[in-house]
Amino acid sequence: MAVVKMNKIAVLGLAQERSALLKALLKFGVLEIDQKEPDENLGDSVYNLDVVSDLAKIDENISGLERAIDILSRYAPIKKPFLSARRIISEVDYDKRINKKDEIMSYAAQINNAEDDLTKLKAEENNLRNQLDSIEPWISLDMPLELTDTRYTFIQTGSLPGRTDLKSFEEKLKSEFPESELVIAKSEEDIHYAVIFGMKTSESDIMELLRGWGWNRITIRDGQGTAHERKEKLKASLKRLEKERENKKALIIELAKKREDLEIISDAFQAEKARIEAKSRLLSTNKTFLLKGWLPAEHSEKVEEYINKQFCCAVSIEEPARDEEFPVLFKNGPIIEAINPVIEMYGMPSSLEIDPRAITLPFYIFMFGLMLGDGGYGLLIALATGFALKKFRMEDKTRQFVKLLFFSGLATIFAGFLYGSWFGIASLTKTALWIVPTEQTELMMSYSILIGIIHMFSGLVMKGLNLIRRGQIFDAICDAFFVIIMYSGFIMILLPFAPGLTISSDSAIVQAGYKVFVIGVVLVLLTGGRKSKNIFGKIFGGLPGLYDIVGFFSDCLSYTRILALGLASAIIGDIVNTLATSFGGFIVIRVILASVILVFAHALNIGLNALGAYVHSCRLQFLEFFGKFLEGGGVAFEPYKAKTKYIVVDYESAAVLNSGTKTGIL
Amino acid sequence: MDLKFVDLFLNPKVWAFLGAVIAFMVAALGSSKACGISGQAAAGVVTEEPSRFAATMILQALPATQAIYGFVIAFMIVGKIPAVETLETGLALMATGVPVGVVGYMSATWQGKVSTAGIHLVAKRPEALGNAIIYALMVEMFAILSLVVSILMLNQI
Repeated sequence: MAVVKMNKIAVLGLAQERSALLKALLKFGVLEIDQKEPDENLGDSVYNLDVVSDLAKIDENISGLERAIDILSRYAPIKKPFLSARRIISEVDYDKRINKKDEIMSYAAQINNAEDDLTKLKAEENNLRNQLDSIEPWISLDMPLELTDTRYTFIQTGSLPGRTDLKSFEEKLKSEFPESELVIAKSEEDIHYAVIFGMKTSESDIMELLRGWGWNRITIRDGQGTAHERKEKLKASLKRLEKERENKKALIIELAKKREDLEIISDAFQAEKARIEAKSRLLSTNKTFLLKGWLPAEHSEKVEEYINKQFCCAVSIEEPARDEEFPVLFKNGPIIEAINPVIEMYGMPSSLEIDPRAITLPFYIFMFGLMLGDGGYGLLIALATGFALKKFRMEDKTRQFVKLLFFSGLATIFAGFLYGSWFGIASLTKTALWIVPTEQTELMMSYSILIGIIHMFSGLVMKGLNLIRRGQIFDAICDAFFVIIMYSGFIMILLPFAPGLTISSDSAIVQAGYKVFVIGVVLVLLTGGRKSKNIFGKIFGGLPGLYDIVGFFSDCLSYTRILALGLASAIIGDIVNTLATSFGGFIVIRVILASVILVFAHALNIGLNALGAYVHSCRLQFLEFFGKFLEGGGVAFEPYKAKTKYIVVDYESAAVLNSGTKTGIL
Repeated sequence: MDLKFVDLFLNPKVWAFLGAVIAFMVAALGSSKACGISGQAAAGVVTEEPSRFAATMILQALPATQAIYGFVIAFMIVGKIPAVETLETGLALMATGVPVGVVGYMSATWQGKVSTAGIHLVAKRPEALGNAIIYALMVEMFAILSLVVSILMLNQI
């Protein structure tokens, strides 16, 4: 497996064919269009088209449609499966919806308006409810509340503090203004609602008295009639509002069956957005345009043929120069694609390097397996992800990740056989094929480091292969082979210190190690400075190479995490089993308690340790492994196609590309 | 029995218990603190971006592992207590609790800070979850090494 070979493409054509060509290329979705800036020397005659206002218009449409879809998902939710992929629809169906675009846009507008109305109705309802609350205290009065005077009297509604002694107040009022009257409408703990009637001639005096007693005027806004009449009216209005809201909701729910249409049109706008963005990437003059970009070599011929047949354009396709970098697209197979998420997280390798995936995948899943370390857990993970892969159609990225977990699960089952570890059951450790880490911890530590050494040496070999690929065979020998010799000697010397092993410091292997190490050091010292220009650099240029031994040593120790994480999950599994079986009492209760604990605690252990194994295995690849050889810095191939959310259109014209080799990028 | 206060210091089992206490308590204090601060940040992010729940939860959970390492060692120490006869073994068991406890505390609190920063990173760029996790993991390394050291020490008792 490798990265897909890319060719450079340049198309020179007439401005009137620009849109049609971009439309056709969008369907292929295999072309990356470079952003080209016009040469300043050419002045105003060559330019990038200005598309800002077009894009703004499209974004507005998309956000309207997205809002409608969002509203539908709130008022008429549909259950989506946990793992789902975009629907595939045929070009015929797609075009049918596009023809009805205006109609579908109007549905979106209806939905959005209905929701706006609902918001307004809600505000109105709140207002009515407030009014209802405000007339509630006056319900016992049988006079129109808007009445403020008659010919000779004035009437005022208001409140007195709850602590007022009403009796003495009324006595006082009667004695001073016998013709006045205070009517209590409603008494609450801290407030009395009341109406005062009095002669207009003594209004100001009465008010003076009232204020002294803490009178607070209350004006009742809006409406007519007695409190009771008003209440009936308000209730009727509320009922009407309720009905109106039901109608609006029903309308939205009715329109929910247009959801698919809305989604398709939203994605159609995404396609148009992609096309317009592409348009601005081209170089244009008033009459012509120039498109430059990349496309996979295997499609080059067919695309060239297609453009020549359909358009009046000049197409040129050429291979990149030997040392020219091109956008990176992985050639995917059913197994190798599982490691893509790990590589992509680190960053794309350069197109000039050997694809690191084939060597990373086995190391990754093996280390994951040893770190999770329990065959039972691995079985559960493999079953769950295997089922998901079989049952659900997923987006590429999701599927790749689930696949990674599936293979990691298989590797964990393998580790289960090696360790004899199955759901932490202690008696099964006798079945271990290789080693029981909980019993031979020190030996396992040495093995962990050994795995690390194999891992890092593979990295150095990859470095050598990359150099050879570029024709730098001498560099490959110096920077990879000599370094391996030096490190090997170093390891042999340190063998007596390896935990769990009994190798005496004067055994043959250690003695040989001294010789190998000295040879390695001399070779590295002699060749390390070969690229330096001056004599000083040539002599001392090899010293940093020696210093790398320190880094190598710490990298080795970093692999002890394989032991540590494996131990952690094994010991916790064992603890769970001990706890679950430690209860006394009635057998049924014991069984129930034990099964609850076993299920939950093991699930927690799987979750925590699988996360640990996943990220630590990633780290070992990124730092210890990729650090040895991967230069990275590659740019992912980003084909010109619609960034759709809901659908994938199965374009008929794109079938031309797949008639030959199958690459899996479409 | 005439117990004196000083007997406590001469009782080997007390020392062994102390080892389990240090291993679990100190490490778990660190993890509590770390999960606490990163959890607050996570809640803040999710108020604005509800879809980030899973990502922020993973980041919040990362500094919980130190407490688990402490728990593992404490459990192993407690398992050895019935067999403790001499003051020497008792003190040795106490010592085994120290690396995983103390290093775990530091590692957890700092990992919590890195996780918090990672949560802010994910808030703006959800695709950077992997990077955020890797940063937090760098701090985890020391807790793992301390776990290894504690286990190696335990195996010698």
